Amino acid sequence: MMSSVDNHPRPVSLDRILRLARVTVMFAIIWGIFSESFAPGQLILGAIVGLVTLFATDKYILKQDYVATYRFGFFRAIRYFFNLMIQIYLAGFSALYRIITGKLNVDVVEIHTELDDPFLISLLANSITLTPGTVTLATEGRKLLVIWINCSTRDPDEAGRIIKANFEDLLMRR
Amino acid sequence: MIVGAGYALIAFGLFFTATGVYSVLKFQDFYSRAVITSKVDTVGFTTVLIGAMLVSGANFFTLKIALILVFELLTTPLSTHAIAHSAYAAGYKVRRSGDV
Repeated sequence: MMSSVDNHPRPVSLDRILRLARVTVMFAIIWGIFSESFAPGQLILGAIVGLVTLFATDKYILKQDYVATYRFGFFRAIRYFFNLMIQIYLAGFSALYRIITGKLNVDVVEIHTELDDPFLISLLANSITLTPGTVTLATEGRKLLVIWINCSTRDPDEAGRIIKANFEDLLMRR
Repeated sequence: MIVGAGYALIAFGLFFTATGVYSVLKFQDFYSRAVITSKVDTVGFTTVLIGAMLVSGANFFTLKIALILVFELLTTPLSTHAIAHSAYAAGYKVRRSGDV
């Protein structure tokens, strides 16, 4: 779990303000895209609506600090996104071949992860489900149960190496 | 040229989706179907969206599709996971090759 997250009022630090500003800019850009205009008025309105939504989410839904809970840098997200797309297409062609030829060997395997943050484990499980040929069934701590369309081994380490590809390495880099 | 590539990608995405639909009908095992359906969602839908972005060109429509793509990548696995997990929790067994 995130040890820095608690329900007490947090001191306002420069780091926190910077992260909040980054999220606000992102909200303003998304608002601009939806309203099909990047006019200053629209961007300011987007930033205000975004901030109100963020504080309401922190207070009533998440009950903790959103920005501190979901620590995932913008550039890291972009790099992760492109890596994910490459993996999806690589696995997609392999799965397509297996489906057409009917060579399926479906089984449930158990793999382990080195990640300890629940948010990052969810991202890893999400990526595994997105990659064609594998679907995450359940997670229990650091253990993931995965349905694998082309089960070549039931050894957790070997299966983990194939299924996790380089997702885990990318997620572990801070 | 770019518009042509976009249409080619859309056609390719539809081909992926068609293969997925065919295989859902072909395979009888629940888990195979669940895994294949998730493939249709990700590869097929993503390719069609990227094709539509290329056809549309640099405008707000393309940016909106890019946002839809990101939301799709974040939410699709949840539905697949929910269906597969509920089947697993209800005691569905994996039909291994060789089982009748």
